[in-house]
Amino acid sequence: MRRLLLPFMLMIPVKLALAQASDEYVSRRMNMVLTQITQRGVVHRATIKAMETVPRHLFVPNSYRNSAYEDRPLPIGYGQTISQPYIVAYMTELMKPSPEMIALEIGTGSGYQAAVLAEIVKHVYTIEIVPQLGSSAEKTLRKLDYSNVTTRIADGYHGWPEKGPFDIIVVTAAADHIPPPLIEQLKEGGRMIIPVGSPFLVQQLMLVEKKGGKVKTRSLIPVRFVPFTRAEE
Amino acid sequence: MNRENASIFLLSVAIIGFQLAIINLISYGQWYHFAYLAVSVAMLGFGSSGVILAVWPKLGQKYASKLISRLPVITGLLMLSSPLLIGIPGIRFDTLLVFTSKFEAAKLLLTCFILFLPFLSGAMVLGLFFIIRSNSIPILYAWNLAGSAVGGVLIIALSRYLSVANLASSFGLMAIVAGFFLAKSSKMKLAITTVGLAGCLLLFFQPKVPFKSEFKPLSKTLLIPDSRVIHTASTPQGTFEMVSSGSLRQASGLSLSYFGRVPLVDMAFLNAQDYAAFEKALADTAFYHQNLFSFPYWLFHSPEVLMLQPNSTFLTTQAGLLGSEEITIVEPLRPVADRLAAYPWFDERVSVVTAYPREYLINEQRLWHAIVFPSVGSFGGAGLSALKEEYLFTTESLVKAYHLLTPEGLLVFSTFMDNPPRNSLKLISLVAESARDLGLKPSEYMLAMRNWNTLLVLLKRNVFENTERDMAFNFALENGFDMVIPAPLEELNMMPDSTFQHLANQMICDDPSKGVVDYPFSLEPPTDNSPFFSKFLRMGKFRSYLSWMGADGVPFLELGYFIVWVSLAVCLLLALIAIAFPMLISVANRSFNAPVWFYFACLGLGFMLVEISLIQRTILVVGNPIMSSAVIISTMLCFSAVGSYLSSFIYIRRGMLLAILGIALLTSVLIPLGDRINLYIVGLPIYTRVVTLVLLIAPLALLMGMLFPLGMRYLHTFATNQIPVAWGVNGFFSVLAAPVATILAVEFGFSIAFASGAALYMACLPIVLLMQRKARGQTG
Repeated sequence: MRRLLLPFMLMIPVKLALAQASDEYVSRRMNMVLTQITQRGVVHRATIKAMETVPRHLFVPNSYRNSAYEDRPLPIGYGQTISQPYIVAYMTELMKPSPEMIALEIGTGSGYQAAVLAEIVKHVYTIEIVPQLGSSAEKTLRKLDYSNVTTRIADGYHGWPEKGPFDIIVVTAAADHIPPPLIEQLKEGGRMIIPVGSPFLVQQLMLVEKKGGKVKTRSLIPVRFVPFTRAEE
Repeated sequence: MNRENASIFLLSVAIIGFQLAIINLISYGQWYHFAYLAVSVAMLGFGSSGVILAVWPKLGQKYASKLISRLPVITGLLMLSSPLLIGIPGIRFDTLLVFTSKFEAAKLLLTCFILFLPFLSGAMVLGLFFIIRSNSIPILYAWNLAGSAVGGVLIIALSRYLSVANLASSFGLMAIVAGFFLAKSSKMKLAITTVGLAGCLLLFFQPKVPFKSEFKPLSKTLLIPDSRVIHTASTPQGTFEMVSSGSLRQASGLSLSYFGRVPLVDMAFLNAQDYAAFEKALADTAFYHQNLFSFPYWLFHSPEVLMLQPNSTFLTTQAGLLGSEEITIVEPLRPVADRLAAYPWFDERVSVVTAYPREYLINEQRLWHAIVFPSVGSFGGAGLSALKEEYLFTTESLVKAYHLLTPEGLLVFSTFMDNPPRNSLKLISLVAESARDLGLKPSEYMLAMRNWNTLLVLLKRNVFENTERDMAFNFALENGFDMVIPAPLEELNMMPDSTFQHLANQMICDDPSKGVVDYPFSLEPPTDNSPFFSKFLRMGKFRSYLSWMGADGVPFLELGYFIVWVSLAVCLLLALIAIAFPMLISVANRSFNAPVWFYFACLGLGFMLVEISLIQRTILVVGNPIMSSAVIISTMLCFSAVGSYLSSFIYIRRGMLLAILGIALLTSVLIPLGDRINLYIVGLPIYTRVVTLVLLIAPLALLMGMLFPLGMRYLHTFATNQIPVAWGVNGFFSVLAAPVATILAVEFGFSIAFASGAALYMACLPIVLLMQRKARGQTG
């Protein structure tokens, strides 16, 4: 009997440790939302709730889990980064997401932005061009039961016409022009967010709105999508 | 030439060649700003070799001949292996992470240390020769400088045939050959031959393309699944690579009302940075019409257009489709020019000239309807271009271009919109200031419009008519663009605040400085004396930057500028560790000779300040930085070698006085007349320009080359134990000189950097007088 119970008895401290770690991450996440997001002026309730819910530490490489809730972007490999929490929250708030909306994300990266949006909107379609990143993000999102996120490995330039038009389009990679197919797939009254500038230095966020068939842009705050540290090979 | 002199000559070729090759290697893998660091690391090697010889004088006495016969081979092996070592995971650093990770900064230091070793070893050989043959230092120094001069030219020749990785290692073989000359026994010669052959094999198996940062544009482009490099070429400007992909597109200035197809492009990269785009197929006509860059063609019928280094074939295709009668492209990079000449979508109206744009402008006589300048500044901000000399974007350049316009002609400029506005405002400031220099009212001769991320600025030879302004307003309205000059009625592409438009309005006023004094970024129009278009930081405004970006974010505001400061910090740290501290320990046992230290410190700093500012200044005259480096480095070293040789025939103190007074006289002529001389000779054929430059610089280099060996001779007579210390002091200040010269040039202009170098030579005068008195006392 004791032999049978031994594996279970051994698992108790492991489970306890995991629970403790999980609690620790929850507390860090709450602190992140308080100090980095709400104190900096993000007020959109659904966004704040999503930021409190999504376990950011599961979207970063294992070696960076401890830094997952720090106020900085982190490397995810292949020269890409997961944006700093405030930027994710700020971009989400700007898109004014609501439960009936359908969103398109160009550049899945870690999948974190897609997860945050998925907490709020009806469905998120996300496209990644780097296969390794796309597969990894898909795995994480599936593991976390985000059934309202569909991923695709392809060139995001063409958007996802068969699933459009979209209420929200998020483009996470800088470009020198806004792809015409994306403007076409943006719903009347829809909003698109796009970062402009070098991905390593100072960028500005651009809000693109489609109203009355006309496209208007608005330049927003300068931000940095700077990779602060990198996983060692 | 005896075997020893031949060995010194070859080793010196190898050392300077390796130094320049390392600059190429780092420019490819990281960014060219670390070039200053490579120069400093080389100087560190020289300085610390002196220190080692000072701390362990036995090396120079007991083991000298043993070391001299072995060290050249060790130097060669280190040169062969260090380019490979610095690319190994765990050792290689990344520029963009240096400012944020202590670990990465440690890796930068480790890289410096690895690169420092071959210089240390090579310089030890030279130092040992100076000690054991101290009575013939001027001759040895002359061979050393002559070898360095040859190395400076050789690298240009070899860079056409060898890859960037092989280039650095190949100089290792030269050092091994230098070792072969010094080998006494046949056994030793056989061993060295074996090592040399092994080195050749290493060269053969070395990867042709070295490691590059994962954040360089080429690295990111190659992550796209179907991207592949279709052509590679080694050029004196760096490594050229052509990438083809099914996902690359470029369309700056495109209207948001265009819903058609954007053509795919092949992308050309230079040193892993994006350089030019080649459209794979033509798009529909609307694509070329619904674009900011099409507006100039609304104002002409069949214009003749001069395109200066266009960064895309789009601009030329557009000019052709919109009715240009003749288009001449000026492209400095040979592989790009060749590709443009064979580009299938260009017809007989397009011709390609391989030349540097500023050089072309200076020598051009013909008049044009439109001169299109390349897009200026890096995408989205100053960033890494902060310290790049942009001689095409100076007031002098624009004034010259203006005079090449037909009466209805236009100068066309563009840049990316940035936030906070820097490139965009600097461009308006530059064009407006040039207009004022020409006696024109900017508001009447300028026109500017923008879309969400691109700014187009025009300067017309004659006043813009009202009908032309109306055309501009209509064009903007149709395509969803905003006017900037004249000011817009309503903004379609909204900025976060009114700063950009407010300052743009100020720039075209009669007194532009009025509104911009409080702006945290420098918007001073660049000139030939300070051609740093993308240098925006102002020393006094760091608090503003800190409050805006935070301490960890400030470096990313203008990374290139901070890299030079980091280089200075790294150099200082290394120089303290490798030179200053050991030297202080060694001096504890010797007499402290402040005048001697001061004399050699001035020479170390002064020589490099003069040399680096001359290199930067001469880019304008010879057209490009590679040619400028080759001409100046080789002339300076070659004539310094002559000076060194001649110094052995004159009395020490008389020679010193003569050299210092000569330098004072020459610089007092060169500083005020330098700009005029440059502008005069710049129109001459290239060979005449080079010969004139050599003739102008040679006397100065000759006199500068005399002071070091004369100082050494003085020490040999009066204070032999100070020779290694003097070598070390000279090295310490030479280490700091490269970043210091750059910072001086960026902050105050080339003239000040040059004058500071000359002033340091003159500061030696009281020391020489003091030495004279001391010598008289001792001999009397």
